Amino acid sequence: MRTQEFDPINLEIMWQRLISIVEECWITIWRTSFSVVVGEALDFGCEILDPKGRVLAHPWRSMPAFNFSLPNTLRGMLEKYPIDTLRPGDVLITNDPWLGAGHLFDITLLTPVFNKQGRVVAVMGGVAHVADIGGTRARASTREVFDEGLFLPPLKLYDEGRLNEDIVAIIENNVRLAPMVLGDIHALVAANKVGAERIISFMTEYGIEDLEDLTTEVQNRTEQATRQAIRSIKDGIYETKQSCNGPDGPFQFGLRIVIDDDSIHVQLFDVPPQFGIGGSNTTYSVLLSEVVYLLKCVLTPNVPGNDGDFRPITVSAPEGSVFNCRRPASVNNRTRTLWTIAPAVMNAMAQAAPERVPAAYGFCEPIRTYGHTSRGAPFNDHMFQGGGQGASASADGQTTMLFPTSAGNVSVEIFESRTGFLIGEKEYISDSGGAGTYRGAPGQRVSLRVNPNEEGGFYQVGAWPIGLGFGNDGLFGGHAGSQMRLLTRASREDLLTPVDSDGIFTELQVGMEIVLELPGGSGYGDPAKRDLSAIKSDLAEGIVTEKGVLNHYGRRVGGK
Amino acid sequence: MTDHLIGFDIGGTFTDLVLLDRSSGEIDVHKLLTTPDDPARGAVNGIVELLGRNSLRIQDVASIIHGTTLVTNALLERRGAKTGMITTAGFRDILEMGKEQRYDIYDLFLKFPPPLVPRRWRRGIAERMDRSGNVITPLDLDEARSEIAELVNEGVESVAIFFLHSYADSRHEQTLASLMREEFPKVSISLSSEVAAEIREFERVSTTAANAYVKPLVNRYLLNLEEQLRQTGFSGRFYLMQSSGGTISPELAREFPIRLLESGPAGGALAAAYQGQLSGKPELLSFDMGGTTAKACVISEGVPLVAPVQEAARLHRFKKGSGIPIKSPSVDLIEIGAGGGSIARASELGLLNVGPESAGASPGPACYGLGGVEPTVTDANVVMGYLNPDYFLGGRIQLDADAAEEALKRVAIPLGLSVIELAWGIYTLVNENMANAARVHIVERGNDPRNFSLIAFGGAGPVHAVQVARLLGAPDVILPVAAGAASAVGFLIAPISFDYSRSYPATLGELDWNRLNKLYADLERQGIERLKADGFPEEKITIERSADMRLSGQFHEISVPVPNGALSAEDLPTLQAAFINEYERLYSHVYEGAPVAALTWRVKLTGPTPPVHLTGGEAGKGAEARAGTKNEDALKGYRRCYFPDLGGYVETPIFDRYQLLPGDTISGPAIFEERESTAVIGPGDSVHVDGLLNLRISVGSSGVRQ
Repeated sequence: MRTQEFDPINLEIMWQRLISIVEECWITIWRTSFSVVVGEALDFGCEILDPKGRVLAHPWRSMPAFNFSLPNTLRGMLEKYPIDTLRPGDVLITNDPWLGAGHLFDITLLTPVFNKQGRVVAVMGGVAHVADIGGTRARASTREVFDEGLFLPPLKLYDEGRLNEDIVAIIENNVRLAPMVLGDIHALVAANKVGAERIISFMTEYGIEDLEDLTTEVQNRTEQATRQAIRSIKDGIYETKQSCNGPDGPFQFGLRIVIDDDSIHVQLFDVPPQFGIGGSNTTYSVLLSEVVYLLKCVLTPNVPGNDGDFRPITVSAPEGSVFNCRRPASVNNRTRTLWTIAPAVMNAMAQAAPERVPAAYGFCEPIRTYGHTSRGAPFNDHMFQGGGQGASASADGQTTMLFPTSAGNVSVEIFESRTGFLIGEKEYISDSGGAGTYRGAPGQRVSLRVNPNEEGGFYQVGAWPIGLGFGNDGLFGGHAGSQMRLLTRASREDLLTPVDSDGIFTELQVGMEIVLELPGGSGYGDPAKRDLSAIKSDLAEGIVTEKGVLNHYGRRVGGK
Repeated sequence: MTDHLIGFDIGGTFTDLVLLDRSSGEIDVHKLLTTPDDPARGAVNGIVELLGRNSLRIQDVASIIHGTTLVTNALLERRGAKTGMITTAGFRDILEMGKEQRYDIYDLFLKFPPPLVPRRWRRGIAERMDRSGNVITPLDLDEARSEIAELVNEGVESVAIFFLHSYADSRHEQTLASLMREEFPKVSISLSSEVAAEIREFERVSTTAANAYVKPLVNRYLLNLEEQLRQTGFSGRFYLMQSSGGTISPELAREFPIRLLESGPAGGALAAAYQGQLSGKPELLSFDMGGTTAKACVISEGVPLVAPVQEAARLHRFKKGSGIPIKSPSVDLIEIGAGGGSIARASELGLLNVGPESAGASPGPACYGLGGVEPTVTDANVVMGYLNPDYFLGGRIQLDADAAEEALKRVAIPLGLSVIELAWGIYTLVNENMANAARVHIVERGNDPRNFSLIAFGGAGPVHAVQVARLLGAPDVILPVAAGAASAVGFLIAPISFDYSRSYPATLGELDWNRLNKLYADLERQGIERLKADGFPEEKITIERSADMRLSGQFHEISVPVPNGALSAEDLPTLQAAFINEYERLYSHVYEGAPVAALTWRVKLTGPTPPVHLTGGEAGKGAEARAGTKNEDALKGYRRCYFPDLGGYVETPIFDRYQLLPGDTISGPAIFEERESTAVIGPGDSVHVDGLLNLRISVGSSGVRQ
C-alpha cells in the first residue's frame, strides 16, 4: 500500500482535528456524569489510541494519570480480545489496577472504531474514577485487593451492540449508590461513541481508509521533538531522596534520573517491599504514566501528547516493591505513594534544568464522605482541595491548585447541598508557603462537621492524607512548605488535636469536627535574597505574619 | 418628528454611530475615532455630526441606545475601583482560590488573573446560613460595621457582600446592605444575592466582585454621558445594551454594570439575527473576523443563543479556565485566535502553526510596512491576490506586497515550501482552525452545521467566510451591507429586557410548589416594576421562564422552558417532557437511572421589540447611477488571484460592491471590494445580490479537500 504523504500544513490540520474530536468526548463525559468526583472534581480522562494500543491524541484538560496509562490498559485488553476478534458494537470494560491507573475505582471503557471495510482503525478510550467500587470503606485496613471491592477483569460490556446485563447486575449488587456509578459508566460509553462517529466522518471527509500513516507521522514527530528537548539538557545522573507515607509512618526512597543524549532512564531505588496493609502500593502501569507525564511537562509542554512521549523514556522500580507491586497487593490508597513521584522527579530534574522546574507543589487531598442525610438522601461525595503552588526561578507560587492531577476542587455550596455537612472554613494558612527568593503559595485549611439541622442522618468520613509527617524541600535554598496535617475534636469546646495514626475513618456525630490542613508550596532560592517589598506586600495581605517573617526570612519588618 | 433612533458603539479605536429613520427604514452610518480621555465627547460630537448631515435636530431623536467596551476593558486593564469584600468568616479566599484546577495539564508554571479584591480588603465576619436558609451563625453587624469602617479608611469605595448560600436566603446580605446605605452612604454596594443569585460560591463571588469593581467607574461614566446628552437638548430615552441582547435603563446599568460586559458583540449578534430574518434564514452562524480574533455565535430560530456564564479578562485569551467567570446571561460567543494579524510560524514539530499570537495593529502585518517582519494571514491574502494593496480600507493604508512576500519566505524556507504554497497553507489552516472551533461550538449545542447559513462581518470575515462555510458543510453565506457597524445597528432593534435568576435546587418530584411560585412571583414583580418605571405598560411586557435542569446528581445543567403563571403538580409532566426533549437533542438519549432535578430558575422580562425595518444603506447609493445597465459596469478590472483548483494564479474579475444591483448574479472566482472589507468567492461558488443589496453566496462543494 502506498504510504500517505503529509506536508506541514495538512498534517497540522488533520492532527488538530483529532484533538478537537477528543475534546468533544471530554465535554460529553463532563456534562453527562453523575458523581462529584467526575462531574465536579473532573477526575476522568479520554483519548484516541491506535489499534496497537498506542496513544494518538488526548484533550488538554484530561487527567494525566489516565492519558498515559490507557495504552497499557488497551494492550492488556487486547491480549484477551485480539484486535481482529473485535466486532462493531463491542465495548470493553476493566478496572484492573495492574493494567490501568492503579486502583479499582478507575474504570476504563474501550470502544473499537471500524472503517467501512470492517477493520479496526482506532480505539476510543475513556476512564473515570467512580464514586464507589464496593469493598470496605476503611481504606487503610485492606491487606489485599480482594478487600477493596469489585474487580472487573477485561470484559465485554457490550457485545456487538448488546449490553451484557450480567455485568450490570454484578456492578449493581456490589457497589454503593449503583445508579451514580452506572451513570458515570454510561457517560464514558456515550463519549466513546461520539468519538468513534467523529473519527469515521473525519476519514470519510479525507477519503482515507485508516489512520495508520497519520498515526505514525504524529507519533514520530512527537518522539523527535521529545528527543530534541532531552538533547538540550546536560547529560548526567541526577539523584534525589523523597519522603513518603507508609502504614508504619514516613519512609524515604531514592529516585535517579539518567540523561543520556536523547533518552532518559528513571530508576527508583531503596524502595521498600510492597506493604502488606493499607493500600499505599503503586502498580508499575500508573508509575510509568506518572513519570512520563511529569517529564513531558518539563520537556515538551506545548506539544500535544501521544506515544511519542513514551519512546525516549524508560522507568524501573524493583518488582514487588511499593512502586511496582505484585498482585494481589492492596492499592486503594495508591496516591499516598504515587503523588510523591512528582516532587521527586522535579527535584532531580531541577539539578539538570533549574529554570524549567518549579519547587514542590503542596499535596492535594480529598475528604471522602458517605452516608445519608436526616431526610434519608444518600450521598457518596469527595470534598477535594489543593495545596499551594510551588515557587519557580522567576515567580512566587500563586494560589492553591491540584497537582499532579488535573482535578478541580469541589464547590462548598454544592457539597453541602448534596451531603448535609457544613464546611466551617476554607481559607489560606498564613506562613505556610515555603520561604525563598520566591515563596511557595500558601496551603489551605478546610474543616468539616455535620450540619446541626441535619442530625439523625448517617455521616461517615475517611481521610488518609499524603504528606503527614514530612515536608518537601524547596529548591536552591528555598524552604519546604508547611506539612499536611489532620486534626479532630469531639466538640467545639475542645482543642483541635492532630490525628496520631495514619488517617481517620469514623462516623461523625453532630459537634465533632475534622480539620485538614493542606501544605503550602515549597520555596525557590535563598530567602535572604527575597525582595523586601515582596515581604511587605505578603505581610499586608496576611500571607505571612511578622513572626513568620522573622522565623523564615530572619528579618524584622515593621507593623502595618 | 421624533421618529429617529440612534445607536452608538464605543470601541477601543472607533466609535460607530447609526441613525435610523423609523418611518422610511433608512439608516445612515457614521464612524469616527474614539476620544479615549472622554469617550462621551467623541460620541456626542458624532451624534451632532450625524444629525447635521441629515438635517435633523436632536429633538427628532426618540431614543439613543449605547453599547460600550468600558466594562470589558476595565477588567482587562485593571482600571476599576478600590474594592473591598465582606464575606462569611472562613471563606474570604474563595475568590482567589477559584476552581484550583490547572487549565493546561502540561504547564507547571500556570497563572490565574490576580483577584479583583486584594486579600487585605477581603474581610470575614461572623455569619452563616445552611443550604436551606437556616441560620447557623447570626449576622454580627457590629463586626461588619467595624470592618467596613476600616476598609473605608483605607480608601475602599466599592464593597461586594458575599455570604454562603445567599442564593437560598438573602436576609443577611440585605440586612448588611441596609446598614451600609445608612452608615456608609458614599460606598457603592454589590450583593451576591442580587448580582448572581445562583449556587456555586466561586462563580457567584467572582461575578459580584467584578460588578463591585467596575461599578463606580460605570456610574461616573454614565452620569457624564447623560449630562453631555442633556446639554445637546436631548430629552428622549437613553438605554444601554446588555450582554444578553436586551437593553436596560441607565439606572439599572449603574446597579449591575457587569451586565454590559459583552454589549458590543450582543449588538452584532442581534444585527446578524435580524439580517437572517430578512433573508429568510433563521438558522445562522454569525462569523465576525477582525485583526486578532474571530468570534462566532449561533443563532437558532432567529434568536442568538444566550449562555448563563462567560469568562472575562483571560490570562491566555484562548484557554478556557484562565479568566474570571462572570455569571450573567450573555450571547453565547466563542472567540478563536484567528484574525488578519495572526502570525504564521513553524512549530517545534516542523509543522505550520497560525495564531493565536497576533501582530495586532502595531506593528501589524508585514505588508503594513510598520516594522512587522513575521508573516500574517493578511500577508498571505496579499500574496494570493485576494487583497488589493491600493484599496485596503478604501485606500487609507497602502500595502507593501513585496514586504508580505519577504515575510512569508522566512517561514516557507524552513518548512520546505514555496511562498505561494505557504500562503495557501496559511489561508487554509486559519480557515480550518475557525471551522474546527465553530463546529464544536455548534455541535455542543445540539445543532448540525450543515443546516446553518454563515453571516459574515468584520474586516477579514468576508475574505474567509466562504471557505469556512465550505469546511463546515454550510450551504450558503450572507454578506450584509453596513457590516462595518453591525453592533450599532443591532442596538436599534434590541428590546428592553432584564434577566433574573435564583437557585432553588430540588428534584422535580420533591418541588415545593408554593416556594417556587413565590420565587417566580418575587422575581417577576421586581421586573415588572422596573419595566413599568421605564414607561412600559404591564400588558406589553413578555415573561419568559426557564430553568437549569439536569439528571439528579449531574453537574452540568441544560436550559429548559418553564410554563408561565402559578405552577402546581399538574405541570410536572410538562416540565419532565421539556427536559427529556432538550436532553435528547443534546446527548441523544436519556440515562434512565435518575430523576430530573432543577437547580436555578430564570425569568426574562422583555418590553416590546422596536418596530424597525431597514433598507439598503450605502451600498445602494452608488448603484442607483447605473440602474438598468449590466453588472459589467460594476467590474473594476482583473487581478491575478490564487485558486489551486484552477491550477494556480488566474485572472480574476474584481467588482465594486457599491455598484452592484439587486438581481446581479456572478459566478466565482471573483473578488468584491468595499471600503471596510473584501469578499472572496472561489470556483464553483456564485453570488446573487438580493433586494437589500446583501451578497448571497451559494457555496460550491469543490476544493474542500484537494
